[in-house]
Amino acid sequence: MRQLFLASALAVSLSAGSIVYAGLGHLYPVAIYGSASGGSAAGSFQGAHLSADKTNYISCSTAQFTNLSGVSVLNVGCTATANGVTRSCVSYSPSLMTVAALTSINPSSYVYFQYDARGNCTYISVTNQSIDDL
Amino acid sequence: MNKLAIVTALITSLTATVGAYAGAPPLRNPVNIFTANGSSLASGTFDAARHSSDSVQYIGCSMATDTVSSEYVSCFARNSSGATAYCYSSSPTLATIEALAGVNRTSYIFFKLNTTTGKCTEITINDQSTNL
Amino acid sequence: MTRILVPCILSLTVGVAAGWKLHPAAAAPIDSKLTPEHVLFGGHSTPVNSGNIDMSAMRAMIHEELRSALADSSRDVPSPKPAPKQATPEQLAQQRNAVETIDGLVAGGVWGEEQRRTFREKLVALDPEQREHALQQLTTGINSGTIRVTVDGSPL
Repeated sequence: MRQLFLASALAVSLSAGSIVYAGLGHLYPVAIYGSASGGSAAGSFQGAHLSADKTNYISCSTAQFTNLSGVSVLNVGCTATANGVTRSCVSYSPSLMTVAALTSINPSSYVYFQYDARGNCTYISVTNQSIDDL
Repeated sequence: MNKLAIVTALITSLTATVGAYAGAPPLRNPVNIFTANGSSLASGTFDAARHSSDSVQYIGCSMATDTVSSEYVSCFARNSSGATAYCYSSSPTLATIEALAGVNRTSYIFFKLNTTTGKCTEITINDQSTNL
Repeated sequence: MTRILVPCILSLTVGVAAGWKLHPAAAAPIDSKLTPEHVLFGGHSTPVNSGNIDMSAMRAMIHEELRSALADSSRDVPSPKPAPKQATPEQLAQQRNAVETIDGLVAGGVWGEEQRRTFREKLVALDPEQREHALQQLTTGINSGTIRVTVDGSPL
């Protein structure tokens, strides 16, 4: 009886903290392609956060401000760093879709952006998918 | 000793399955794909796909734009049997855009597509605590 | 009693530690290194607003804008697009190259990480009609099984 009790207690204790995720998941640390004259960057937030590369980072932002003419302006931009290399882009007067995509970013997001030699964002995509949900 | 082993195994599996949820129990909606009459339907939650016993199923949606004039959205899913469904919309309405802006790990995603064109004909996103 | 309690406490500790290890730490919030006040110009960070910006208020403002726009316009009307500019000879050459590359990717019948990356890069060069065609080729190919997807997650 004592053995039974001990075994039960052990089993419950071990199980309590060790629920395991078995479903499909991927970590996509940030990767940068091309050069400063044009290229792309991509990665998931979880992938960057858990990367062994301590510089691994991806970010997008939406910034509203009032310019010198008193006009309210909205700009967006993305930045990525991998292995010490940083690439950024900005988009002026972005479309509503661009803004919606960036405000949808959350821990399950995978972000991809392309940039040109002038630092303009030429393409942005935000994917929210289960495999990036850790 | 046999009784001991059986009881231990029962308690372990029960505890692992039930977990430590204290609120309304989670609704597990694994990824389902159904095709008939020129349409495919796909649905599922992030959480169920991520907690599934297979390493196959997934579901999600994308929004993409060249930041100026061209934009599209897409949704995609794969079920545990490996069947896939993928749709896109190159002229997303504001309603679609706003719906997809809410996709996150609490989401239940449902989408319907025309199998001839590959276009999304319906997208529904439902965010609720029981999807966790 | 002690002989029972001690192993229980030890195993609870092991179980919690294992659970902690198996579940990655909660994802950090979206990195605030690039604060809303900073807009990047060619890689240099320039503060453009020295005031305090409440991110949650800004998100609420953006969502309100979306809702107003939705209320004002018909649900069936897609977002208006500006008239396309005339393509330069260089752009036309890039478009031709992109179309050929994408046709080759689709004909290859397999969609892996390399195909996905190349498709994204080439998609930007296409005009709206070509892009529509490329997306339709990819989508119908995947759904019909003529393109086998080997990459997990979004094919794009």
